[in-house]
Amino acid sequence: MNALSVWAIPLFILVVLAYGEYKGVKVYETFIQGAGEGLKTGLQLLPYFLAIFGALAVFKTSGALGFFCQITAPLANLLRIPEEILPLGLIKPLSGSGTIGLMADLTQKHGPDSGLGLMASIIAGGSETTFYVLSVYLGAVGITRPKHLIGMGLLGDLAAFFVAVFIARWFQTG
Amino acid sequence: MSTINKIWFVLFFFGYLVAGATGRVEATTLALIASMEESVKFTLGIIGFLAFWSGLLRIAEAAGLTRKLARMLHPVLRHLFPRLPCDSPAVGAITLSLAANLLGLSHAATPLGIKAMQELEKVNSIPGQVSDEIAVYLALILGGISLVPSTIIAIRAQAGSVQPSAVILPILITAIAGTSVALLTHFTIKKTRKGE
Repeated sequence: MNALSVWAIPLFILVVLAYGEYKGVKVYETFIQGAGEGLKTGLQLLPYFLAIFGALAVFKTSGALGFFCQITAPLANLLRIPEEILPLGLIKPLSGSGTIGLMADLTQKHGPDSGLGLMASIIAGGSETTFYVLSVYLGAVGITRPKHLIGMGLLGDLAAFFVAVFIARWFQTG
Repeated sequence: MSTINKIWFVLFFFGYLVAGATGRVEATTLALIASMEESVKFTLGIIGFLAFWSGLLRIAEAAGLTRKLARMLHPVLRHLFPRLPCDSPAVGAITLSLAANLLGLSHAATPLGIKAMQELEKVNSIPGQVSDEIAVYLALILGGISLVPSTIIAIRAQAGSVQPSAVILPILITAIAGTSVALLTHFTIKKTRKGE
């Protein structure tokens, strides 16, 4: 499992470069253009991080998060998941930037390679932001009644969440 | 999105309410101010990786890798959309949008996805209602299957991970599981509705 993951990035880079070269793409110039645009998109993330990290700092330092975790601890225990991970599962279908912010916070606090850090990373990457995607995609064609799609998306999120928790545990011990 | 507006508001409001009750107002404000600098550092920390990746993806796009991948996805997707003709514009738009998502072309994925939705709406027997094809397509999008989750890797690297890419395969498995459950949910609901 690890070897495959370790090779994913170099393999991706090599395949893209080789295919670009084969198709006669000016790989260097094209890279510079794309990276320049990526830099702009990256900077546009800053307002989101300001909003999320600010709200998280207030919620955490005030003790409100501890309070929240205390209330939800029985649920977390029942589901056999770490208390700190439950808020991530709750925010995941609602907000992409919130998920990224919370995941960054958890990985920095507990270490990205710790059990909790791995779990947070896998949960954050393991599904799309259900409510955002549904509102954008259905809104684009003017469908106002989502029917069973919200339930479908949330069940998918729930499954992804528990699979992520399971794999993170297995990954750490295995 | 009104939900995120409410959550954001509640985090501040409830946070300071608790801070007032526990006498941690000063510490909370200090943490808030510190978070502003952290946000800038954090963004700068991951921006290099994201820009590099974006440059690489531009090469992939220019070389037509999205189209190539879309062609490879075609045989698999045909079974998920049995009622759509193989060479219809809807199938073309769906495969292209899924290929963009798979490659992680976030800036191209949304416009391609909206195009796919428009094509699906054109062949919708009851316009304005969720069709089978729309449900299946959205189950695939919501699953979020992607070959290299670059943002997650960038954040892990920035947090000092010794193996930031170790989560690639676990994330892939998780996304495939979530997608399968979403698809299964749709097909189960469809079956029970027909049975009524």
